[in-house]
Amino acid sequence: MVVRTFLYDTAGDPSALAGSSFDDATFTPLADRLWARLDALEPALWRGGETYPTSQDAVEQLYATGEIAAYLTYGPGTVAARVTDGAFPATTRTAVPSVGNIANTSYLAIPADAADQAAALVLANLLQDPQTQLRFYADGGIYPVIDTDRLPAQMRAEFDAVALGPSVLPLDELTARVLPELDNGYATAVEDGWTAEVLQR
Amino acid sequence: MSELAVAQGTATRPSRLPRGLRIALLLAPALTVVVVLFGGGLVQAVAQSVGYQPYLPARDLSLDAYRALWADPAVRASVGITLRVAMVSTVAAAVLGVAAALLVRSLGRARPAFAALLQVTLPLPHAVAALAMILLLSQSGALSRVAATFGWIEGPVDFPALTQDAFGWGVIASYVWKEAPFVAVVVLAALSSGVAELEDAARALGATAWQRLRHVLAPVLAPAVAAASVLVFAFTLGSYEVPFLLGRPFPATLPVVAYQQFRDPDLAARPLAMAIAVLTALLVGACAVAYLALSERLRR
Repeated sequence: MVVRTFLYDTAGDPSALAGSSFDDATFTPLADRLWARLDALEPALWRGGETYPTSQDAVEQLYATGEIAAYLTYGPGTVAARVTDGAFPATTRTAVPSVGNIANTSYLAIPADAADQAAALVLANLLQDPQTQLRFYADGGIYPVIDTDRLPAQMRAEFDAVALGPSVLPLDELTARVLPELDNGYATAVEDGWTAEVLQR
Repeated sequence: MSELAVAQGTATRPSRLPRGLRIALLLAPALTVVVVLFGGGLVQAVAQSVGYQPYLPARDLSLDAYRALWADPAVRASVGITLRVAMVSTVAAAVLGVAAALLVRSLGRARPAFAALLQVTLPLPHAVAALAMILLLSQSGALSRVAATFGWIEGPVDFPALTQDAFGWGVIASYVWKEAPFVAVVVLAALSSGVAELEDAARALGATAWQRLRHVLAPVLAPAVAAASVLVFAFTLGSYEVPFLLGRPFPATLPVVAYQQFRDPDLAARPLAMAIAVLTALLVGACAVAYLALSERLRR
């Protein structure tokens, strides 16, 4: 996600990539600039870019122990709980990169040949239930996947009343410049390219 | 009828089953586990490495994955660090283990307590040891914090990188912490069988300390140390969780690379993952055979 955000930024205009399927003629010159940029960035990275953490958990652990000063995440809301726990410094603040932030929604899929399709549908309904979504949001900082504008006024008020604290931007600011996930072809090319051009260099 | 009487009357007599069959039956439970779990896994790995994937559209079996091994920079970089980590860990664990065993043996009344202490780390999972090493050795770990308290370093960056480091010190430290006591326990067991009497006899015949070590202790200990070392080497070569937690994503050890490929959502990467796993198994097998041959020579 970090490298894909940098790809959007390197492209300058996100609409050059957003929503379009993989195009080698667009990607190759862009990727060359992207790798050069990430190369130049290395002195500012953890361990001077000599190696990279193996997982998002490892990244957040590095932030918690003070080895790094910032990181990118798909779960900005979860930061609040870590600050309350004392795992993250109280001065932690979320921000949106100038190019915008890649955001998506969690999806539920039921295989066509699922043995217990009806039960799976019940579970899906439960997970999308406004009450469940409210608990996810208020307790875990996981943003609702349902359109809260379509809820009854009282329910909507409960969502509006959730305060994640000063470390997290309000939802409207977090979603003001949302970028869609890149086409699968781009995602794979970014991953393979980063491994070959940055990690293994 | 007389047969029945014989069978009843001689309960303490060895079973009338042929000796070979009796041994085979006694070994069957253990062998079943080894053959079904390990053998089955190996057969499946070999099958998938040559492209046997019945859940995909039919393809010809081929050795393409093995040809791709050397073309893959992750695999090429992996062989060196895998062998290095396993080798250094094994040698360090063997040396420290033998030293600890000799030290514990020389203790008087405190000996049982220290012998028990050696066994404390044995039941701990390797993942726990690896996490403990992160808490202790990382740039923001306990040692780093002590150093900062004394003003030797300004911040995490000043502390030497001992985890996710280029050489693999963190992985090695974790393995040595777990395996040196294991070697020590095996060596202590070998030392308890009348070795002291042999040493006393050698001393009475005028052997110096070095001669006793060279001609009495070494021949007694060599088979035990060799056997324990083969186990340690095979384990450190093929284990996943410690290098995953303490190592780098690149270059990573062979099991980590195999798992990186195994997790690829593209099932076409599966033969390569399995080829790496088979390569790891072959390396372990080859090293074990070579080492056992060596220890056979040591025994003579």
